[in-house]
Amino acid sequence: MAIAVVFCSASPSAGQGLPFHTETALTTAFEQRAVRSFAMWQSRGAVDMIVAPVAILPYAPHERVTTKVVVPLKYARLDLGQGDHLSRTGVADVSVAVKWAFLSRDRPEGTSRLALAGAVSLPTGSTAPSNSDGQPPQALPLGRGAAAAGATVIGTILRGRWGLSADLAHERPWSHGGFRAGFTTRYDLAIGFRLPRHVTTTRTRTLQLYLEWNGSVEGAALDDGVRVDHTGGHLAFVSPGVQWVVLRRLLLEASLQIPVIQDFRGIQPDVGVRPAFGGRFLFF
Amino acid sequence: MTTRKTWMSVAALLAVAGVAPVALHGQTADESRAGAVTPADTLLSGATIRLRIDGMSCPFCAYALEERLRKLPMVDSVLVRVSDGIVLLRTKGDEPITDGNLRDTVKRAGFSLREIHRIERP
Repeated sequence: MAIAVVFCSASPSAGQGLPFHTETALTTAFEQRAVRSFAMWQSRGAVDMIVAPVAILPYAPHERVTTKVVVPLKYARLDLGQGDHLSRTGVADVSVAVKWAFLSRDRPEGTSRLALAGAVSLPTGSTAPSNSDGQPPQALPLGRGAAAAGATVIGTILRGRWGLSADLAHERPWSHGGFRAGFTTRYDLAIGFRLPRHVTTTRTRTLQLYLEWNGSVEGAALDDGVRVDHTGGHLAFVSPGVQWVVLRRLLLEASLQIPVIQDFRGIQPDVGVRPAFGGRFLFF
Repeated sequence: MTTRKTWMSVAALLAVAGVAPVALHGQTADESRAGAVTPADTLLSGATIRLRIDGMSCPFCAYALEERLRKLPMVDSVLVRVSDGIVLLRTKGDEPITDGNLRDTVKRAGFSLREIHRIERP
């Protein structure tokens, strides 16, 4: 049970910046006026999961401040063997985030920016039994069952066709019925490269190639103050990704997260490769 | 008709920017000049302003700036040259557009306005 809750609490990177999984310190169009959605396949042991934010809705009260609400849908499936399985679908934990770009140094065809972000995750995802026959698919909670709050520091440097973004985030969940999932410290680094070199007008079709390193360290969960075995650890992915600006208003993106570090406490199921596909649409 | 007028304005801006010929919807600026209205003629109906913008790198972000400028009531047409950090815009008739208007719009789009150059009518 504890393993499943910790698994579900792993952030699906919803609402992040232009690289698929790494935040950027930018507060320009795609953070101010672009609706984003994607679907990410996750597998761990006998559990398969699809996380798909219905929409990531941004709002910019100021040119250096953006807010967003992320409403994720989750489909979870537990393989019971011999062709049998349990599954569950519904809204997972909704989150609200604010980002403030406190330092900005613009230059021709480039910029350097630093930002701080705060986010609160609400316990909207069900953790209750859902089957009508009273048989709870306990291994498939859609949410963490408790609110969580986090802070992120983000840096971005753009120079011509090259881009570099990095973030460091820390999140702590509240306890729920005496159980508290472990803290999460996330660190991401993304390098981007744009094709073609020269962007003549906004009608120029461009392709962005990304290589990301996405890591997270989770603390052990606590049950009535007692450390829960087989929870927490270090997980990291190498994530090649691509973005294609198809139209001036439409961007399509894809990423493949390949696990390279799986250093878990105790015995925990392995994490599989995570493919993800998505799009962003500018509205005015 | 409006679309044709818009593209003629953009072609005029390209000519001013010195980037013609550039393919626009399958039509080069040279082809556009072969129509009834020449870039010089279109300039007569409004002023051309060239902005130097810092911070632009991706066309997706620059498009938001383009749209914000286009929505200013006194602006007729806008052309953003992303890699050059240049925005060319043409005003409607003699409607004035202040430096403050421009500075504000660029700032709200998340970029920095470095220079405003108002190009005199020929």
